[in-house]
Amino acid sequence: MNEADLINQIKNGNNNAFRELYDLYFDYAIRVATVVMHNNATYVADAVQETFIRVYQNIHLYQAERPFKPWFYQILINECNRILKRNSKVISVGEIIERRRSDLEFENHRFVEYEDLYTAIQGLEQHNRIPIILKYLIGFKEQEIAEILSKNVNTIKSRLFKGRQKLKRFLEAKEEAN
Amino acid sequence: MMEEKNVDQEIKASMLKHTDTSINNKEEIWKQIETKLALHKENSNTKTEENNMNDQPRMNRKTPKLRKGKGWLTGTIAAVVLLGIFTTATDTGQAFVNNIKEYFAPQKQVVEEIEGMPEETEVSLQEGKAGYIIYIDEERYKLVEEDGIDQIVTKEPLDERYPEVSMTITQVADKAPAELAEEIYTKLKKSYETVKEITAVKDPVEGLLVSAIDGNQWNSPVTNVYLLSNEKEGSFIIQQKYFLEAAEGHGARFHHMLKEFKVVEADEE
Repeated sequence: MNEADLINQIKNGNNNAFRELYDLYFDYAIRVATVVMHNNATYVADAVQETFIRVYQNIHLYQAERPFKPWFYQILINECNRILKRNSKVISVGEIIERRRSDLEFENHRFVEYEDLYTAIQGLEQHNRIPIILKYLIGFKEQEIAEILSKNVNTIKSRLFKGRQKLKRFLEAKEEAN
Repeated sequence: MMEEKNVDQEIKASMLKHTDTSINNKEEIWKQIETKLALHKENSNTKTEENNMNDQPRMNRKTPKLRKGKGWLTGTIAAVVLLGIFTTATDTGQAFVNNIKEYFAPQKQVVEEIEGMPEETEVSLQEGKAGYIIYIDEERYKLVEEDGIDQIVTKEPLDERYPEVSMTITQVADKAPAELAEEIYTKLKKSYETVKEITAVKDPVEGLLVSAIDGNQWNSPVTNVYLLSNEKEGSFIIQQKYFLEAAEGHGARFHHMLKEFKVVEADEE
């Protein structure tokens, strides 16, 4: 079944089709939520769960002539933001770095080589970070990111550029140090 | 210098590596979703049953009345309203509205075409402060007063991802609709991508309309501003706000509610 058929089936109340959609979208949805929500497993699970529930309940609002994927990720990002806002007093960048450091001691060695870069990604300002996540993790185009985040495409281009520049400088500095 | 391609690859690889473990929760999260969705269904079923079984006046009144002939009902109410306006011009606004309320039940049935499906709703007579009456679909909306402005908003607050949905009614004592329309047109031009030329309309109210839309996405904000005479020196400004996807939902409901908008002689002594 292709994606359009799947959505139609869900609109007609087919729960198996909804499960298929879950299988298709879960993997990257949870990865995006994980990076957006600083690896806080509870928030991540809440955001993904709420997203799928909203998709199911509001599927009639989705217009078939438009691509589904940006619509889905728009809901996901909004859910992440809502949960982060609700718990806004929780995470500071300092805490993230601290948490990542302590995680290092326990996590598998394969994480080590990317550890610093990941910390750098997490340290980006939210408005630069989310476009970076959507572009590099999912592969969305600038225009699609603009639609998902309801921003002008030039704004997104500039945010992507700034975010990427920071990460590039970080990688270069790291390379020089080595 | 690092190669550009390497930067991109490293960013992606870093994010993938750090999210590998999160995908292990897949079935656990699915179970939660299933439970929650099933719960929703169960809740709504239970609610319907309760409504049918218990003496829920709103629900019980609804079905038989509607089947009996809403056309007759609506016609009678319209007649009473007109009669009221012409015969009680000397009453104060408050008394006038109370008077109308006595003549017919504050609730009536209407059938609206919402997103292609006829919907039965109960609307209630609301007494606004600015010398007008309007019927509000009380199942979905409520009238709130903020800084002296009357606003019809959804009963349940909308999720923050949706743009504003509201119908605001204000009165300007000393400006005619045409003058206000120009001002509003200029104002909307600053914040909306497309603003249509001012047009004279007869439906849902007789007056001038300035409508605008900001984009063509599902969530692009839409606004319709109706300007109509307050039957004195001034005007009523009625601004509907919703978003593109909701045009046939909230948009249609606002349109129907506005059809029932009536100016009353609030200041006559």
